[in-house]
Order: sequence, then C-alpha cells, then structure tokens
Amino acid sequence: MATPVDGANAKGLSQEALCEGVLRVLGEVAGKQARDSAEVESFGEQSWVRLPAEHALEVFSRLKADPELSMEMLVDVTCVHFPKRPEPLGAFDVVYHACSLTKGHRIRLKVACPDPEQGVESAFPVWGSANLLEREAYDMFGVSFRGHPDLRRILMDENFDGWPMRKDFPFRGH
Amino acid sequence: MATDAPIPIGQGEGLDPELIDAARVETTIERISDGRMVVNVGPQHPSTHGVLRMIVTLDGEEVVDLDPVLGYLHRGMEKLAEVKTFNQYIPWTDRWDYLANLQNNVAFAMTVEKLMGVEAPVRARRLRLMACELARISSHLVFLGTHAIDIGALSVFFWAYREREKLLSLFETLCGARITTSYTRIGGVMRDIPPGFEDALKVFLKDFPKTLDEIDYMLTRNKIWMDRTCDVGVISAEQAIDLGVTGPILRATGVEHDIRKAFPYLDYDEFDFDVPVGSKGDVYDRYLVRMEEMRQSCRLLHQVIGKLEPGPIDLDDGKVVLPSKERVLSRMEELIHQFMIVTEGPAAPPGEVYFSIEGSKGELGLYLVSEGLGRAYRLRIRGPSYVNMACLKPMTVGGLIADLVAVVASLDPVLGEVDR
Repeated sequence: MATPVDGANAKGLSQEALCEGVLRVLGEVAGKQARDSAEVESFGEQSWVRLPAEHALEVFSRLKADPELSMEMLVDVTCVHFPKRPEPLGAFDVVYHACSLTKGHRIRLKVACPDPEQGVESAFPVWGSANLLEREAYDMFGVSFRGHPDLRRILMDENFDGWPMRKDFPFRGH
Repeated sequence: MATDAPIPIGQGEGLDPELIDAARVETTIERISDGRMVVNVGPQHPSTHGVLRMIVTLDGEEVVDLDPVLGYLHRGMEKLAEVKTFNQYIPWTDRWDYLANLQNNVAFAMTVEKLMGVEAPVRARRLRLMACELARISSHLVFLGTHAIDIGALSVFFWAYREREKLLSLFETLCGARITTSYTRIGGVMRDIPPGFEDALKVFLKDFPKTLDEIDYMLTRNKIWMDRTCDVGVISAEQAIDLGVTGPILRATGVEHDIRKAFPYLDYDEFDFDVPVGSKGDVYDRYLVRMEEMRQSCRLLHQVIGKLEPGPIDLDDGKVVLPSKERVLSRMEELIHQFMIVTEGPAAPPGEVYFSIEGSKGELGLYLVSEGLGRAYRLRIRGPSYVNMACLKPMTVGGLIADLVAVVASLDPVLGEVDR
C-alpha cells in the first residue's frame, strides 16, 4: 500500500532538506564553524537541529524571512527537563516547532538551556505566538525567556511556589 | 458596584483573608481614576463557555484592554502522562477538548504508534477517520448552539443540541459512553462498530443536512444575526499567522491551511473534501466556515461508509495490543505480553515525535518524548484553543462590550483544552 507516512509534508521540503536549510541559515548568521558544530538529530522520519543559544533569535528571524524556508508560524514552544544531563547541554531543552503555511513543511528546533534563571532569548520579536507559549513554558518549568514582554504565570496561581513540570516536582502531596 | 458591606463568604476558620479579598474583587466592578472601569467577566458566566475569566477595561461601552486569566481548569494533564502507561492515559485524553473527545483519543493513539513505528490496520484507520469527523460535527454543533444563544437566537440552540443528542447516542452505541469515549487503543480501536451502526449513521447523515439547512435559513441572511456578527472581531491573515492561530479562525481570514491537506494522516488524501475559507476574518466568516465544515464532514462520512472493508481492527502484535484471553490462557508468550502491557505499558523505543491532527478547534499537536518505557517521559499537548486565546485581545479591543460575547463564542474555546 502506497500510503505516505502519517503527518509527513504533503508538499514542501523533505526533513533532510529542511535541516540543511536551517544549517545554511545558521552558517550565514554565525559562520562556518558554528554550522559545522551544530547537531542534526533524527528519530524515525523526523529530524531536528540543535541551535547554539546565542544565535537562536537571529536564526529564527532569518528562517521566517528566508524565501525557501519561509517559516511564518511558530506552532509550539515547550521545554523538556533532564535533571541529570551533564553540561554543556545542561538540564533543559527548549523545543520549538515552526511551520510554513505557504510551503507546507514544518521543522523542530532545539536550544539547550543549562541555567533556567538565565534562560534563553524570547522568540517574541519574531513570532507573536511566542507570547502565550513561552509564558506557559515559564510557568511550568521556570525557564526564563529574556526579552519577553509579559513573563508571568498563566495556568498556575500567581502565588504558587514551585515549577510543576520539573522532574523533581512531586506527583502527589505538594 | 462595589459595596462596603462585608460579604459573608469565607467567614469560616482557616481561610486566608487575602483570598477573601480576591473573591470580593472578582464579584465587583472597580472604577479607576480617568472614568474608565475595570470589569471582571467570569470565570462563572454562561457566555464564557467554561471557566474563562477576562479582566476587561472599559471606556464607556468600548473595550480598551483585555487580559484573559487562564488556569481555572488546570489539572496537570501533561504531568499525568509521565506516570500513566500509554493505555492508561487514553481516558485522560477525553478530558482535553471535552466536546470532541474522539479526536483526542485518535491523536494520542496515533502519536504513540508513530513513536513505536507501527501503523493501525486499514479498518481501524477508517473507523478513526469516521470518529474524527463525527467529533468535528458534534463540536461544531455545540459552537453553533452556544454562539446563537449568546446572541439571542434561542431556537438554534435547541435544534443544534437535538442533532448533537443523536450523535451522542451514536457514540454510545459505538463505544458505550456519550462523552468519555476512550475509543482508541494503542494499535487499533476498542471495538468494531456494532450491527446496525452503519444504518443509524446513514439515517443521521440523511436528516442532519436538513436541520443544517434550517439553521442556515434561520441565521445566514438574518438581518439581526448579520448586524451582530459582520465586521465584528476582525483579525487579518497576517496577524492570525503571527499569533499562531489555527483551525476555522485562521481559515476565516482566507488562509487555506488544514492539517488534513498539508500533513495528511489517516489516508485523508484518499478522500474528497474541500477546505472552506472566509474573506474578512470576522465573526460572521467564522460562523460560515464552521457551517461548511460540517457539510464537508458529512461528505467525508458518506465516503468512509463506502470504504469500510471488513478486516482486523487492531494490530496482530502482542507487544502493542493486548492479546485475546483465549491466547493468553493457552500460550506462554501471550501471557508474558499481557503481563507486560498491563503492568509496564506497551514498550516504546527511546525517541521523540511530533504529530498533529486537524482538530475541530485547530491544530491539536502532541510532542512525545520517550525514554524507552511504556509511558511518556514528556508529553506536550499543544491545545489549539490555548494558542487561539492569543487573538482574543486584538479582536475585542476597540469594539463594544456586547461584541465581546459574540467574539468569545466565535473563538469556540474549550477550557479543558486551554488549561489542560
């Protein structure tokens, strides 16, 4: 049966071409060395690129403007907590899913965040949807987003103490 | 108006005085210096469609600022996924978007299957597609009924809920529950359609368009309806894309984006259906888009009935799907599989996937990270209603408070999915 993979791009670039495109943009922003050291990881038919934190925002804005990639929409921002993961990656991954409506493809991007208090730069200047999404990530994980216009709790109460989605937060008895 | 008289709430022991103050503020209107007013809307109000709370700043009748306060229905759905095995988690998926439960079941099961690298058999996929479209109609009917009642068209509410009642009865014959369906399992569906279901569905598909036409006749060219909805709550395509808005709200702005077409799943590309779009992005367009989506869903349902070929409804793989009792009691391997699936959950390889379906509210995306256990290491639920909340402020600021009700109804938020 010749069914395509569920959720794969009907049109637009393949996952490999997308990762290649992201690396090209990263090379333009941060030079050849950053491009060569950036990691492309994959699982099944999905691939993603890990961006260096200091260049992430610049790469985002180029990805949005790039005529070939044209990532107009930020679909999702979230975090994953790995309490025991050693440096340089550290304890948190911030995961972005961006989508191009005109081209019909989407990509996952990751930025490592070793220190949640220092956090990562907010994607809000590039994509407006980062406002609510980053607020939730902050609320749940305590990862700060520098430059976010309104970074405060959203789902939990303002006076709540603790970061519920961290792995060290108890499942019961808080 | 604020009253100075003490409100007799929270006079029992152990209640925090600050909380009492907060509760008092929630029930009052506060005047601020320059003649503007801060009004609290919700969290308990029929037109907020759940426990949505909005703090609205008004200048006369005009809305000058709006801040949605979310989280009243936060139950830690993402955290729960980290302690429940995949099959144990399926009942929780019913509680995300509780007006379109079946599509949540499908989205979760398909994400886990994608992680495992397996695919449900053809008949299960057809049944899932059918479930998704039925859920879409049922969800849009609630939108239609509540939207109409918010604007004052009472009959439409009864007509829409009468049709939805028929759908809920269909769900009951399909899986034994009207709301908490839990229809899918990892690797297939809970059970095949019962005898007589196809005929009942055909009867529904025959009657339902008539009601839809009646509602169409009642509202679409109705002067009062058009006055209340045309050019109200307008959002441009650029703004909607920037805010990450998906689903009927995005399509009402004229952007033809549908996950079923852009990233097809469940063989949607083998079926004929159109993606309706609006032109202005106002409340009226959102209403029209959803009306047409219901008709397109009927079209899909007609096709899927014709394509339901006999076959297995779940995978023949003891490591994914619970083996039959007969085999468990007669073979050792199946006994081990049953024990492992029930105690540890069906084991998935370490890895991560993102998978999304076109839910009735927009892109329902699931990002699942696995460590190689029978449960998730991290499950991210990208609820479309949550992201769509971002456009509430740009849609309402500058409009009238009476239009706020129409705008909230046209966003069709389900707070179970906003707060998760």
